[in-house]
Amino acid sequence: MTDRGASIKFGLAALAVFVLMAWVFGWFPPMWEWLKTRNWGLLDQQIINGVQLGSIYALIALGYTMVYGVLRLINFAHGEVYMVGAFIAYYIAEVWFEKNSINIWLLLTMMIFGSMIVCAALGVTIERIAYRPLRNAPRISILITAIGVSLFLQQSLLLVFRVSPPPSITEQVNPFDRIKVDWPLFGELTFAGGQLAMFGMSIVLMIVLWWFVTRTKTGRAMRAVSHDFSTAALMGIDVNKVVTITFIIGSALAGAAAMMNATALGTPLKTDYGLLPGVKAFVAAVLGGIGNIPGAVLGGFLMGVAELMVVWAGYDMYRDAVAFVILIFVLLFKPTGLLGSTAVEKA
Amino acid sequence: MTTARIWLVRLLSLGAVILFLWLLQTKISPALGFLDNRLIQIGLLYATLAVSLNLINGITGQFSIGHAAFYQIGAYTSAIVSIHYYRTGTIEPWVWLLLMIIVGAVAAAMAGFVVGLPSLRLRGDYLAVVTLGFGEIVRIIIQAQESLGGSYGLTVSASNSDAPLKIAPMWMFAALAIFVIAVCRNLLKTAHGLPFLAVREDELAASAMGVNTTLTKVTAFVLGAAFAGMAGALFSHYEGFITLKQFDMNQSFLILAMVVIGGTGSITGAALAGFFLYLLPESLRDLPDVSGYAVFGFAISVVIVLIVSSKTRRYVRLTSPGAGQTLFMIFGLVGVLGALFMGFWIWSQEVPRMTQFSVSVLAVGLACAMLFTRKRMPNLAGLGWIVLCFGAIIALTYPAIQGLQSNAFTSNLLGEISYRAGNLRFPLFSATLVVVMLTRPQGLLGHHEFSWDWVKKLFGLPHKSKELAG
Amino acid sequence: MNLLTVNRATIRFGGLVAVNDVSFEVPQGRLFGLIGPNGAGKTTCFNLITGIYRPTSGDILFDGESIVGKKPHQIAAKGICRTFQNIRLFGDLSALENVVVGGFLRHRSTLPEALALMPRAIHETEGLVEYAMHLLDTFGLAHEANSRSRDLDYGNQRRLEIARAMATKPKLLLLDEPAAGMNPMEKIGLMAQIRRLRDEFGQTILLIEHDMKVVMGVCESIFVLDHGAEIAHGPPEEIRNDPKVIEAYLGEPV
Ligand SMILES: Nc1ncnc2c1ncn2[C@@H]1O[C@H](COP(=O)(O)OP(=O)(O)O)[C@@H](O)[C@H]1O
Ligand SMILES: [Mg+2]
Repeated sequence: MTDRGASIKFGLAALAVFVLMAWVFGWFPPMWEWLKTRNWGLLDQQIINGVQLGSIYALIALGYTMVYGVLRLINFAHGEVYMVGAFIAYYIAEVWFEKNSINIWLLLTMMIFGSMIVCAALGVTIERIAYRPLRNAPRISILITAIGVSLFLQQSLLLVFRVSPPPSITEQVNPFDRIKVDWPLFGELTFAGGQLAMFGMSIVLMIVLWWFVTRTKTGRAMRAVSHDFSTAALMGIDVNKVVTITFIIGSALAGAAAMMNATALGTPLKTDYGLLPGVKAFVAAVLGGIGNIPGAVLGGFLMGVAELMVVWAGYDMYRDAVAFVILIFVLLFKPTGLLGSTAVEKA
Repeated sequence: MTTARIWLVRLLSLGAVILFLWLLQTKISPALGFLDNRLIQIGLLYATLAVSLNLINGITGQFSIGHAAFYQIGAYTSAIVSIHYYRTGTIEPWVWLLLMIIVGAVAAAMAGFVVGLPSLRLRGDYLAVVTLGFGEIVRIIIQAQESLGGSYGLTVSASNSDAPLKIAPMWMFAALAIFVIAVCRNLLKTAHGLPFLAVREDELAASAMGVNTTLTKVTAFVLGAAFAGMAGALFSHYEGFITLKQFDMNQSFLILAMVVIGGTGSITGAALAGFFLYLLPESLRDLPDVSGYAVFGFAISVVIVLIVSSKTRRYVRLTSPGAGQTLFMIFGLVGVLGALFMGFWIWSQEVPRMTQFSVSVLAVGLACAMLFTRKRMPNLAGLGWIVLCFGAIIALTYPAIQGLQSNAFTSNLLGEISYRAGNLRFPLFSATLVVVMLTRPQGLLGHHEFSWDWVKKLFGLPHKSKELAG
Repeated sequence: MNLLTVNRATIRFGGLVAVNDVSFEVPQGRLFGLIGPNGAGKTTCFNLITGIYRPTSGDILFDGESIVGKKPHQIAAKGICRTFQNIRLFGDLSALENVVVGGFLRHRSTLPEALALMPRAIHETEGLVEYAMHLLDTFGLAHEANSRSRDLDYGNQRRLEIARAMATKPKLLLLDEPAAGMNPMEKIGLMAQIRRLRDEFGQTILLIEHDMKVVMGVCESIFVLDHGAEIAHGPPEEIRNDPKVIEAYLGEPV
């Protein structure tokens, strides 16, 4: 029942009112002053950082979007899967680094695959235990279950993982950060090697995913299920298998993202490590059009850039709020997201 | 019912409430220790919060999971007003507190209006995320505001003093809970409640029947938020110090869990769940620390038993008479006796009265529900199954702990660790939430209200059937 | 005097024109049939009239006043109420409560009065319950008043939907395949009941029905849709022999 014409009209009207008010109350001169005092030289750097951050959001968002596609479920526990991925990477690094002076590349490979495998297993377990029995229950029940699972993982892993003081992956496992790339063409642009590697790896994963979804039989089955669950089941597609594979892929991507982010940035890990990235990535998925795979990638990048633009503008403390503001605007004006298709409730 | 009779009933029940509040304040509260008082007060606060969320979530079916934000707005707004305008000695504290409750209600109601607006276009999970986001935005804004104490917290004090303002008396908590419950009950008692329920059931059909769904949803948000704001104002003037952590996402989830476990749509379910689900985990605090071995041994045996029992459950017929049922009925009886014994045992322990009280009430309630209801046989057998599983868990825990201790790797990992029992609350809570959703998605009371007729029906006594207007 | 005038209504969903330039009039007190094969656009017509969709172009007049762009609840308040093809009762509410929701449209007491449980709200509720019981009785559902509507059997659910719509005291009642899924005996009973509504209460009814025989039996005028457009229009005898209708229904030329 959403009426796009009305949305656009409403949006234009709101804009007109804002411009009018800004003019009447004389907000334009201070806005101009404010704009002049920004550090424009840093803008391009921040956009690049935003794209790098966005690649992480995009990877997590893919998990949300794929699960939503097949089950019409916001997998609230996805953020926790991401968190577990970061901890696994940390433990692998902790156990094998220093002690056995292991080859760094081998260690990194172990970390990323370890995270991906554990996350995939966790995602599948969650689906089996918590979601599958409720598949025909009202959607609200499944949603509450998802919240319950997310809370449970967050709180119970607090007992399992080492949390005080919050551990972080040592910088020494990150060989890339010794590389700093300056781009003389643009003067001051620098790329931290770790982030660059993270970005590259994300792109590789996305391409692999795209190949999988469009070119393999399973991928096509997945798309069929996400188009129409019950018809796909009637056509003889093994829906349970597709759901399982979806959770495997989505969770593994989250695991990879977690490992890369935790290694590249060395952020201290806590069990709420996945909460905000999870919610932001979800917003990214909605922004791109939930259920839509390219949409999730686009949304992730936009989200990363938007966040760092807020930082650039000098409102560091509001960087976490920007996701929600975007979310509310998207949902009000284009609920189907940028690349999503329209779905109307039939009477 | 004639008008005169309505007013008579009204006066009588008002009198009864006032009498109760007076007794509570002057007789009961002083007789209890500080901790008991606190448990009751916060328990009542949670009951209020759960009932207020139930209005939005259970009755109107708008899935809001950022309820703590309204609570927070009520708390902070009233605190700021007190800090700036309250001078000790000028107004009776409880009168000022009443004013602050109204301030909190108005502030939160405005926020509820703002959040209610997206609900016009969004449903289900999308709305959930928007409300969650709203909660986060509120938190982030407050965190960034130094005048609101930022992440350090805010001391609520009078403008002419630095001492924390702690002016909330016991009766106020009870009065607020009663007020909120009464308003929600009144709503459902008249035909005015039906549009809310209709929106929950089927929005499109409701609008085709002439229900202004926009107005209904926004009203639900405004009312629910206002109630939460009242609770917030009361809370801030009770603690005298508020921090962001008291209103975070976990708090929202806690309130949501209370509503869901109590039975979405059931006012009494929400109120009872709010009260007891606060009390019971709180009483865990008094237990001694638990070793890491015990926690993990227990967790391992729970997993094993759950897997085994879910595989074997279908081979045991508990609902129809037979040898299996009889056998499990015996286990059920053992369970009932055990629960009663537990109630008595707690009574003899050195724990707060409220803990004794709530555990005993639950034990006796369980015993009554099992022994005297109509579907006694299958229920007892069902309980017997649970008791057996529970027994198996306990029996398995010991060898599991032994195993963990003897294994070099795990003993290295867990050897030093022990947990404060209080910290186990949230894992238990969320596990309960998941288990309730998986076994009884409609919550413990379902959409039903607790009523004596309902109890009578349960126990197979003569009762009159449910009617809309009494 | 025409109660409802649909004037060149058209609606598009993307490329699909679900209702194409449709015009008809429903006079006061008439039992008017809207028929057509599956997917012809009948339900969509109802959705246009009740404000669930907004026509891409064209106008809909009710009581001489345009109702295009009005919200569904405003249209219901003006006196158009409907049933749904795929039953949309308030599943967890009792049959009685379902009907009271319909009756609530004409309430006078305010929400604060209800929250404070003022006598006026109580009395009004009592009145609504009484009226709803009366309606349930008319539809032979009085004994089910307190059952959850989800638990009723199929035929009773269909009847309850009509009772609920009638509770709004509509000037125009829209019935979307009310007899769908019923056996022939039940169908006859239901049609008799619909007829009675018209004869005893003077209710104007716009009826969608898939089963030609049923419609022919009760309706005074019939409008036939196919692929969203009008193919015939007139009294039952004419429709029965119209070659285009036969073709549309049988899918082959006569
Ligand atoms: N909201 C919608 N979006 C897209 N197509 C729709 C929508 N509603 C109806 N349609 C299409 O319009 C056509 C007419 O449908 P409908 O009015 O339900 O037919 P019927 O005559 O069987 O009641 C169908 O092809 C249907 O798929
Ligand atoms: Mg139809």
